[in-house]
Amino acid sequence: MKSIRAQLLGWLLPGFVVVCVAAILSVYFSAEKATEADLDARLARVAGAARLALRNQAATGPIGTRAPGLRAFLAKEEFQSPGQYFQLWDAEGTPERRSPNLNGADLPRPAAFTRDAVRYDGLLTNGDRVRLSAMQYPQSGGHPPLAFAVALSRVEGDAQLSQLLSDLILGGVACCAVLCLLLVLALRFALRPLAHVGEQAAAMGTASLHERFAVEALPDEIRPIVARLNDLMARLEEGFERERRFSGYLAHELRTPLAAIRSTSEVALKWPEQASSADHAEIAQLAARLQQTVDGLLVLAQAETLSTEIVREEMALRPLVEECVALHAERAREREVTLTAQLDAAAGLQTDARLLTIIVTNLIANAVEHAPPRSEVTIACHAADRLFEVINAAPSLTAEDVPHLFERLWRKDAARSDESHAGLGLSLAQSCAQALGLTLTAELTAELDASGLLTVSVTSPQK
Amino acid sequence: MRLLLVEDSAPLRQPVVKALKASGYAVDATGDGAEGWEMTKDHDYDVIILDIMLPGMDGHELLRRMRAAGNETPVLFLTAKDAIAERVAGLRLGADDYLTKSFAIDELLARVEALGRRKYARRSPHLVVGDLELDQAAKTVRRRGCQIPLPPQLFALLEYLLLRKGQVVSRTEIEEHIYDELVSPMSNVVDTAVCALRRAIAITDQSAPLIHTRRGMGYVILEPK
Repeated sequence: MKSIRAQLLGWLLPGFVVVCVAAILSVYFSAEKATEADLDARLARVAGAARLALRNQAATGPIGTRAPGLRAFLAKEEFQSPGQYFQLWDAEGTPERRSPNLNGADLPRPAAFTRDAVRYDGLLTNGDRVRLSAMQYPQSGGHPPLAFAVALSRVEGDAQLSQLLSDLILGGVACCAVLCLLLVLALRFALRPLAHVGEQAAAMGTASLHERFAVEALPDEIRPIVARLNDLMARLEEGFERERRFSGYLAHELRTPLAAIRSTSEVALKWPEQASSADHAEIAQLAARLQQTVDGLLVLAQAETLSTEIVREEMALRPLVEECVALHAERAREREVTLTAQLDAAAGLQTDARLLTIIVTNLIANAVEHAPPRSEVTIACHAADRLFEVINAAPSLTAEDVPHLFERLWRKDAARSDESHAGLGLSLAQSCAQALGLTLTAELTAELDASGLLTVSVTSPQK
Repeated sequence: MRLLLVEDSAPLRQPVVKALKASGYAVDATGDGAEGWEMTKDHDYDVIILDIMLPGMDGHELLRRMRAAGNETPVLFLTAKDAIAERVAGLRLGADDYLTKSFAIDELLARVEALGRRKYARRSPHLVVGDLELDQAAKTVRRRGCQIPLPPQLFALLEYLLLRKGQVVSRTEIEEHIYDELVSPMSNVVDTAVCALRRAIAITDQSAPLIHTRRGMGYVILEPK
């Protein structure tokens, strides 16, 4: 696709030329019409003067007696040199008088003389193009009417029109050139913000994702696009930040046990007399923990890509939840946490049993691990939009923590001191929920004693 | 020298403590940042090894408080965070060194040793008095070319006296720097150790005495006259 600049120039430049040509032609033809009208008006005045000259004399006899009115008329300076002509014919059409500047030549005659003036164009023998006005002149006393014609040269008018035409063409070309220049400059100026946005976008990298395009300085037309770009940048920055956090968590999650394994091994090698079977047991335990983290990440990666392997079947929720609750009952007892189940027998949906089990068991495990001792975890399933929910007290959780709950390896304890889990349970549950088209949400509500109550729920658009 | 290790991961803390003790250091260890802060106020450590992400109080805050309180003990950050920004933040707060997990135990020991020398404004690992020479890096003691095998605590005692050569070192200071918090302050462990050290470094009857007692004040190691 052409650039906006090229497209605008492609349309506007020919447009300017067409407009200029139309304006030139319009001006020229108007001027030609005005010149013609002016010529006819002058011709009418000359014809009127000729009629007056003919009226001011008596037709007393044959040719040569029409004096002195006509003689005085023809003695005028205008009839001495080319430009204005006169000729008089008698009733038989024989030339009776002609202006001296005709040098004996005749003016072109009309097809017929009438009492009203007839106007027409003609060419004299001296090459002068003229405009003529011819008419009959009735005589009193029973004499037959005379006929006369006056002519005015077109040379001066034609020269003025030619000059006007050349002036208009020159002016039009100059006007087109100036308009084109202005157009190019205006486009360059108008498109500069767009070019600036392009340069800024090209200079952006992963290290400058915090930067934003300045929307206020942009033209209204591109402001919405750049605002969307800013939104995209914000999402990118958030995504990169999430990945950075994940890398940091993963580094901590893997490096600390690796460092412990390495240190234990090196100390045992360097000071073998101090080594004991407890060191080996420690190494085995650390390796198992690493294995648990890596397995969790692998399951998470698989859950994020298994949308094509889902096998859906109609299933009841209650037996599945009861089974998962039973699995975590022992751990709940250890932590002195009471599990309360509110299970609707009618709750069910068409889904993949394996993935739904992963979701339910991880949500229950998460609640049992993080609920304070001697508190209650409520597990409920309903035959409604909100299919399943787990509610537990979360006194240390803040509203700022809630958006991070489903992040991979996120933990409330920044020191990550609790080595019994890695922080993958909720991420895994969310990935499975997404694969099944379910929505997993977390909500923190304040209790009367200002402690938080965390509700993690699974909703289905099927219901 | 007496060290403090603040590291919340017990599986890592245990082998590091073991390695440091085997290298002759007196080591106090804790997994809690707030407890570590209290320990820095109670004892004059030669080197502190500090994790950053700690329960109770993070390593950055602990270091900031130490420096604000005028505690200039060299600090080595030991952490899984290796981002440049993290390192810069730690060093700007006043940390002296930075070691990323996982690490070779020998590297940790070498860095701790270097920081220990820095505290006593020394660059060479060789400490010499008369015909006796102690190599801090090789952990060896020689007198007139003969190697003297010393158990870790006697080595640490000799090293501390040599680092303070010419200065009278009180029993309390020796207890502070050579023995960890498990040693009873009422015991005569210091006198016993000094006595044992004198015997160990006197390789012949003609060997000049190097460690002298200043009655009521402590001990001093001096060049033989």
